[in-house]
Amino acid sequence: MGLIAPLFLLGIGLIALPIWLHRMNTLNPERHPFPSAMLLEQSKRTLIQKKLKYLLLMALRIGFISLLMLAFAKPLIPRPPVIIGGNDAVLHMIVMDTSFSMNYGDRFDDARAVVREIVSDIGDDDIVQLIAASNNVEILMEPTGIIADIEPVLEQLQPGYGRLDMGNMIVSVDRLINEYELATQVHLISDFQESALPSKFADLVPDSLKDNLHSLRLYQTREGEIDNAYIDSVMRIENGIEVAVRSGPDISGEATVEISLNDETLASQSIEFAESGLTLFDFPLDEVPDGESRLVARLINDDPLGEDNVRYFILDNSPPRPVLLLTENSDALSVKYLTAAVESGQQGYRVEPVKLNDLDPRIVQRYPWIIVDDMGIINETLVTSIQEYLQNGGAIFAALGDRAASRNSVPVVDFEITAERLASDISVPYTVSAIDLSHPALAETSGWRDIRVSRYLGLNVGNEADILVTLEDGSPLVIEKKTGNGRVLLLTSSLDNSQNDLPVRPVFVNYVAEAAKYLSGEQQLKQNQVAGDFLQLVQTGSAAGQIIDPQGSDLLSLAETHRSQDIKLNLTGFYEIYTADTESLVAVNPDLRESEQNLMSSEAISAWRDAITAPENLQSSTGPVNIEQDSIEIWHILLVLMGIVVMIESIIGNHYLGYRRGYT
Amino acid sequence: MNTSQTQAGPSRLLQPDVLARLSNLELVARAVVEGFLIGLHRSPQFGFSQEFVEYRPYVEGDDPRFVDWNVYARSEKAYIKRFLGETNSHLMLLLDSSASMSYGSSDISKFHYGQFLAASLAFMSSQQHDAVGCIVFDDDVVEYKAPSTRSGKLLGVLHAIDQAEASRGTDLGKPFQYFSELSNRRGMVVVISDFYCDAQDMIDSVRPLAFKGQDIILFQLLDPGELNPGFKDAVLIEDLETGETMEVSKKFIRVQYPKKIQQHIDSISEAATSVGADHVLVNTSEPLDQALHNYLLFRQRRR
Repeated sequence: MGLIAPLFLLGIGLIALPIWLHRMNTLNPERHPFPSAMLLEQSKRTLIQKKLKYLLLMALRIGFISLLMLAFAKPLIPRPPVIIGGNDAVLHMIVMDTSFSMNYGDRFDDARAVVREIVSDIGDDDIVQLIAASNNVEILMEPTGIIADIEPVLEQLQPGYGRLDMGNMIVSVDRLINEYELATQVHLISDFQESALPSKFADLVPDSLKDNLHSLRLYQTREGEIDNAYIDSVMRIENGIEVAVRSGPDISGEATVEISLNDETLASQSIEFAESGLTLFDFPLDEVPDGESRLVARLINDDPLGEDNVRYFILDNSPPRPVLLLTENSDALSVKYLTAAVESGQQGYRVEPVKLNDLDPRIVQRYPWIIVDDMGIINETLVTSIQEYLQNGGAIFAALGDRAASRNSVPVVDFEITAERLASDISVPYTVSAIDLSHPALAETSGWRDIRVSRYLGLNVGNEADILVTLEDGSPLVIEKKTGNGRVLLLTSSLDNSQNDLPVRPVFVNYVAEAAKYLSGEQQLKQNQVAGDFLQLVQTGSAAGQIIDPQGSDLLSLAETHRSQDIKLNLTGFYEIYTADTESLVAVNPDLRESEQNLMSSEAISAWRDAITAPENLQSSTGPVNIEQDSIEIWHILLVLMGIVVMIESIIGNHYLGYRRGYT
Repeated sequence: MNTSQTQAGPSRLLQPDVLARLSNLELVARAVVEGFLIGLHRSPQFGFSQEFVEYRPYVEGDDPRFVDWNVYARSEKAYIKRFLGETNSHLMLLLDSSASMSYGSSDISKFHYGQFLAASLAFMSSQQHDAVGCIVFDDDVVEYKAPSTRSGKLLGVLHAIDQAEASRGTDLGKPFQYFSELSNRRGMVVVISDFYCDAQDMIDSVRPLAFKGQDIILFQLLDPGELNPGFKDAVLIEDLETGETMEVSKKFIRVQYPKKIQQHIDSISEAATSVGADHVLVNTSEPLDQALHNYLLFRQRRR
């Protein structure tokens, strides 16, 4: 009986009994009527002592029932499997490459045949383990001496869409070898693509081979290099789509590419394969639907690796989201710089400059974040609306211009303006001395030390604000203040290039983009990913949602996403993600490196074999081999504990119940 | 000889547990008194008979049944016949019906015992042609029956005693003050209570009556469970009058409580003596003999 067995769960429900009984006793303590308490005296025992004793008694009873149920459940403390056998017993660890390239032709059937051959050759008492290697190493079967168990697993195994990295695979296999503590012969069956090799050859040799107890044997599938043609990329270009097809040197003739948008075929083109190996197809697009569209590009070709002739792509035609820019003069330089920086970012924002006089304060609430080019322009009427906006989770990207210099404090954030600082020698302006790169709005930016500040406003920010960028004289240049659920990022200088050169420095675009991401609270979902990647649900801006895979299966229900936030993308195609606020698409394609058909040369494989030469004494044993899942049974420990609990409960219970007993 | 044999005959009816089974209080009183009297040897000392002693002039309020009409026919003056043992005094019964009286560790509570005792005394006094009245009280006067020698009045007194229920707290001051205001004749006052009160407060209440010349006898009823609580361990006690709970240790129950209850009894007794009142401790597990016997002794002394 396990810990989730119904009987155990039912039994553990008995815990409610002592709780209920103790509660009943608490509610209805046994009282002895007496004519008068006039001649009696209260016992000196304190109420707290009694309650503690009471709770201890209840805890002991609950503990007793729990231990009893646990003892019945016979819980085990698992240990890694220990293989007990003759000293010469060998574990045959068969590692099969199940990466995307193994889909080619008969490669995987060859691999199966090799496995069967290996299994047929091992000694009767040896044991076998089957492992699949792609993006990660997956144990398909625990070590077994029953050879017949391998065949059904082998038959069902299919190559996937992932990529094999030999270096990572060797590390994982090495760890497994050390775990089993048995002479191990690793059989690696792969097509040995060049792209799978690690940067260092030494990484191909497991450390465990150094003690001469283990060995690694390499089996290359018979199917050699092929001339593969595949879609290398799909890009959106001006007024159209560009599809790049890559082909081997021996491929010639006409290549035909067909694109479809949202399951409707749009166009087809046929072009001769370029000798360079890269053929480009341009498809004009007159009209693209709003939002995200599914674009599929297909290469009509009969090469043996057909799965990479299809490329999935998300065509995002979502309208840019508006951002309010509150200004006094919509023709000001600061507006131009801010507009350019915000709209050039990948977040897809469109700046809406609004003059202060034209502003209806109620519309502020519509924007996830707003820009104020000079906080000095905010009048008393607007302060209330903006503070309410911040309380509700809004955010402001702001600067202090000339209008702020004429005030005593900064509106909304209430920083006291202590002085207007001007660099004493305008030819030697202030520079930045410290940057808080741990802050999300600054982490991805660089170049702050290149900017020059000739004028800024000195502020008394107190302890309620964080200084993110500091000038060489110790004054803050960028400040963040959190107000309610919202936040304000404030530049203590202007954004019109008159007091500093930040708006014309490259860091400005980066800073605005990162600040936009930070202030809006949005994280960008990577729309085009490769198979084997993990999709982080939090990137959709929601903690929960529903994910449907390309086959239409409900990969994660809404409830499950509360528990698991990372979803492995195993299939190619379009994944649909539904959250409370958004519907998103993610296009998943095979890793392009798997489509490259350059295999390791025979010399390289020979060198590898030389480096992993098997020790001569690694022989199949003739002694019996047993595999034991070595788990510790703890029921007898539980029985001892139960005895102790019962003893303590009896002592405490007897003492506790003493004063309740009354007449005896 | 077993217990049932020793209790055979009318005296068996004096056992509290037997009396508890009788539902009619008048029947109880009659059974007690008759059982008690049968058990007594006839003695002039306890003169309780119908033997003629003297005549006295009729005064208003006397029962006309005792007017000697023969004398009236001869002299046209109304005279009342007086008999041996008959003093024609007033008896006022004060029965405590506070909640503490409801306590009983056996079948009979202190209050029931007090009811039997009060009813028996009333019946006995009525037999002697005393005027009998009663006050049932707790922390206030619950019922008052003025003293009267009329036979119908006895039923009224018995009914008042019978209908009383033990509840609420105790305040001896009010019934004594109430009775003191109404009483203008000397007589006997019998107080039946467990006297869970301060001895000095009790004396302060009784003293005005004593100054008026009333003869006072205090029956202090205590249950065996009070005199010797059977708790053998610490216990959670609930005060019957206040409802308050108190955890009392085993050590206190065994060692200190017996001393305290004895001190309390002694203090009540000394206080009673100080105002010339009699104090009788009654264990409710014992028959009513002792209480009635004490009453008769008390009455005899008064004569």
